Amino acid sequence: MRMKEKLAPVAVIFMILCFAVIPAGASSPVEAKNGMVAAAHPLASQVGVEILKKGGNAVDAAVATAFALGVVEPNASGLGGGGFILVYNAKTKGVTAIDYREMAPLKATPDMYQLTPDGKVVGNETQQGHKAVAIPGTLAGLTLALKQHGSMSLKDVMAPAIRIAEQGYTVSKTLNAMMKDNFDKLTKYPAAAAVYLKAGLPYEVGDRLVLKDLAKSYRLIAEKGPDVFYKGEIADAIEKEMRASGKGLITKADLAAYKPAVRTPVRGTYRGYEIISMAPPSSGGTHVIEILNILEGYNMTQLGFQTPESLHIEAEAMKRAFADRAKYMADTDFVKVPIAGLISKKYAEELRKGISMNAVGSKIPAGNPLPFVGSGGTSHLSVVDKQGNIVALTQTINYFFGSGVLVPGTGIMLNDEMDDFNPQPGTSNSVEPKKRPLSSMTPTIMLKNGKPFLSVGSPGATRIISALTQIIVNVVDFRMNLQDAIEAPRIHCMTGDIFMESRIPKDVQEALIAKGHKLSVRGAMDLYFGGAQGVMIDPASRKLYGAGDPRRDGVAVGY
Amino acid sequence: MRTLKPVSMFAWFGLVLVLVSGNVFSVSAQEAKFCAKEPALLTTAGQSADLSMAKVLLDRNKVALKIAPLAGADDLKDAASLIIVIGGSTKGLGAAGINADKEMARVEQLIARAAAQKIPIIGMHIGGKARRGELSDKFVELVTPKSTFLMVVKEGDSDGYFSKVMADKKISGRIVDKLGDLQEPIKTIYGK
Repeated sequence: MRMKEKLAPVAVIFMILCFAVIPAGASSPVEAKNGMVAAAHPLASQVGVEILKKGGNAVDAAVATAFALGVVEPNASGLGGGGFILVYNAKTKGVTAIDYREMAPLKATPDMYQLTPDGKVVGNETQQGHKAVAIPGTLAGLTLALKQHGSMSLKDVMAPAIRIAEQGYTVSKTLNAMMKDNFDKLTKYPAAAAVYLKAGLPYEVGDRLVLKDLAKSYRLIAEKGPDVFYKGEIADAIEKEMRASGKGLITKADLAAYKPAVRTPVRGTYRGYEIISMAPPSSGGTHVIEILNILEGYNMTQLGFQTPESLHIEAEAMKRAFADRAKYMADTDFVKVPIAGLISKKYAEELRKGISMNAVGSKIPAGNPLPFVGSGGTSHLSVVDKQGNIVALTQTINYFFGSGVLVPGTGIMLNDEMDDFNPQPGTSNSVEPKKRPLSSMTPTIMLKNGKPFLSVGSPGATRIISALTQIIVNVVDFRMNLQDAIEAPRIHCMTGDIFMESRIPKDVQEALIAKGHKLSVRGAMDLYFGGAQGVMIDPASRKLYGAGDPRRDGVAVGY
Repeated sequence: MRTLKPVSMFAWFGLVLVLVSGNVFSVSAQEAKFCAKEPALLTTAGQSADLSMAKVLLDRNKVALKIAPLAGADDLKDAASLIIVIGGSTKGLGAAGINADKEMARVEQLIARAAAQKIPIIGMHIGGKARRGELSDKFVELVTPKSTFLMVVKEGDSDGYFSKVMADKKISGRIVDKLGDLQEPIKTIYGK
């Protein structure tokens, strides 16, 4: 063994000790002055800080962290998926939104999935297998962000992720649980099983997972650039796998045609704080603002933290937003969405009229935001650098381990994003070639008196919207520090039942039942409700406070 | 302070050794007492994906199996042992098109028929903490006390529930650190 290799573990331990690492769950955020990265895995957060310390800016660090997440949280995001990134430029005070959401293949049609009489997709084809895969956008999005806003080369920001993939890392409880929970999916696809199972069973907690093929793909991309994925050797491998399955639609022409889009973010306010978030094809930003607009009409502080009254109001507000989401939301490149109406304060006022403090709303229809138009499987990471640049980035391969399809020899796990379309033809979110499926991802930046205050986001499908709303309410109305705000018990409500973590006290649960709510109580700290990461900036001292979500492996690292 | 003489130290060491080995032997003795016969009917209580992991372990030991996640009492007709993989999954129940109450009723009937036919029940809890909690514990509490033999991955016993039931009801079995460690007790009880 060479000396360098012998010293490697010592160096890693030293690095860990040097960084201010405090695992999420300690209920106090990590404090730092120079820079902060909050991501879903400690190694990924450390990669981001490593890049900041080398002189990289927030975008360099975010892109490096995102590549690292593809290695250490391969069940949630990676090259085979897509996402959204918000960048706040400290010099211009402007916010740019890059949409690298996957797109439906050119051969996709609104009726490509066979449905049962009750509307279910036959053979689960939107969730598993080759037909579930949409054209991946992650690499195109990250390289565009790096080109427009970064300062380092692709090779430099990919280097730490390549190192981790080649050397391997320790399987955490969360990853072990994901492998167990998705065991059937992994065993169904031999290429995925070969990488993510050990002798036919899930890797145990503490085992070392080495991702050699993925490291090889990363090296290829770092050396030859993103074209190798969209037009070169990796594109060949993806097309070959799709064709061999007899079901996959993606061709090299699809990959070559993929383009990320620069979008205008949605903006709203909540009790004086400015909320800047992702616009369609993500529904997240719009509906977080819509819910917050409804809640603004109530004195949440006076109603109290997680009292039956405040939870009732939150649940009723969520129901209205989700009814609107189902009716109006889709890719704005294909469908006209009344965004201005949905985020208007006056529309929220109309919606509030339908909410009673004592009655539970059932079968809430979508509202009519049109008159107000004129007036007006996911991982999240947040980065703030020394100059005050901010990144909020959320990306995904949809369900854990995506479609289950891993492109042989590349280590790339492909998404099942076609499941985010409505499989029924004729709706605003039905499948169309090159259309992006509706998302709930909500990377969000908040400003206070025009100054950066918070970068936050979460995985968790539609629960992202409810998680973000509650975190913002916890910070603004209940004056919690970011770690407490993220750890606080969560609820989620779309149409009927209120889903909630079991930490919400029994007497509060009983009071909600007495009001007429139906409850679905889940685990105490349940990853169903997301895994938020965030960084808060104290406008006075400019100190940074990072927080990760213990519902997954979230950790903030600062320096 | 009085120091122990070397002889006394050896005596204490010997005593500890006897106690420790006695404990080990008692577990082995319990296993030796219990022998399961083939074919086994493999089912779940709670429709979790853990059934598939149990199948991998049983296949490795070439245990003759009939796999029926929604097994009814009649499926026990040709079975010589019943293996129930315990742990609830909302996703699994949904995919199977049943709710927790119907699943409870199915498993209750299965256990009753197994008892009537004197078929031993092997309870397997292999999903750790993820298979404990409100939904899973309904199935845990239904199957565990009725089991003839239990195989548990330690993380699922962090509250000591399985250890306590095993001690109180004198149910033999094995609590192991890792999933892969279940190879050995499966091998032992099926005489492989």
